Amino acid sequence: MLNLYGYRAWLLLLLTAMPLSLWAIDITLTQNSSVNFAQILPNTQAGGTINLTTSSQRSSAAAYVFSNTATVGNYTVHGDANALVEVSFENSTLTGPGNAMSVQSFTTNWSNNQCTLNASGECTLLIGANLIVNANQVAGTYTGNVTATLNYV
Amino acid sequence: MTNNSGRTFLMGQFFLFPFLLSLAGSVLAYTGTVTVSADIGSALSISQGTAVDFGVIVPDTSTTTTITMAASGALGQTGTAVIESAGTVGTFSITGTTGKVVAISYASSATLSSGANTMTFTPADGLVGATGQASCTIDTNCGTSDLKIYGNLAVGAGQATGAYSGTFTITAVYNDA
Repeated sequence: MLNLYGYRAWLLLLLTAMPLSLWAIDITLTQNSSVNFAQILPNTQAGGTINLTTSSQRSSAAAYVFSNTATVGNYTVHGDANALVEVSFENSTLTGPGNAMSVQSFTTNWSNNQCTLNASGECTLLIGANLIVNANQVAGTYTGNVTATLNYV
Repeated sequence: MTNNSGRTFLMGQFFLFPFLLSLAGSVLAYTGTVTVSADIGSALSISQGTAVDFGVIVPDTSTTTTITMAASGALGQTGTAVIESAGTVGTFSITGTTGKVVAISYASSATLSSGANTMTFTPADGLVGATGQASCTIDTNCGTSDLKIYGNLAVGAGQATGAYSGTFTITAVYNDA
């Protein structure tokens, strides 16, 4: 009597699901370059916040000197041609030889974090962020992953 | 037969409705991974090796004397005070990130006190090292054998007897890039 697995139910599911898959192909993110704050030299043991802009410039109110060349995150977003896509980020941490450092306050080259994909369904996404260096941060290389969430608007 | 299949279709709709909502939600949200990295250097730290010590000096009673200390620690003077013992050049060291160049700066003078009485110590130009560099490279020439403090001590005419001491501030910062 409750014939949920009957062919009509499956037909309805198929018909309803088909349009969804037609107007929303997966949005993917391809890395061209990762976010790299490069070398940070602390003049003192006090911690501080380092800002990396989407033009790869580092700055800090605290006593840091920057060495080597920082790179902004450069990613290509792929999706439906001419679709409006929105991005958001989750705060994360970088781990290494010392206490984990927070990475947060992400900025992008997208106005309001939205981009209209081009005719090829692509848009370049530049990502800057703030890095929170702890007091007495142990020297070394720290890495981490940040989850970017992409949506069709 | 007709009733039966009609009911099935209705139930199918109820069943699919919440399912499709969740399907739409998951299909339209995508996640990607962004990699972030940073290389933190060692913070700078300055440690004193030996303190600057002018030893025992008996002042001239009528004129101010400048006691000079060379990078070797050798004492001399411009007046007629009596220098009764050898001096000791001050040394310090800086640790930080290997291979990085550090700029060193220092206070232009320091006041030595003994109670209410004072004297002024003026570091020699190029107080750092025998060659007078104002910078050093970490783990190369930032050690106590490289970084020295010496200079001039102004001893007043009839300077009051006592043990005089004071502190002297040295600042080190990484050079850019």
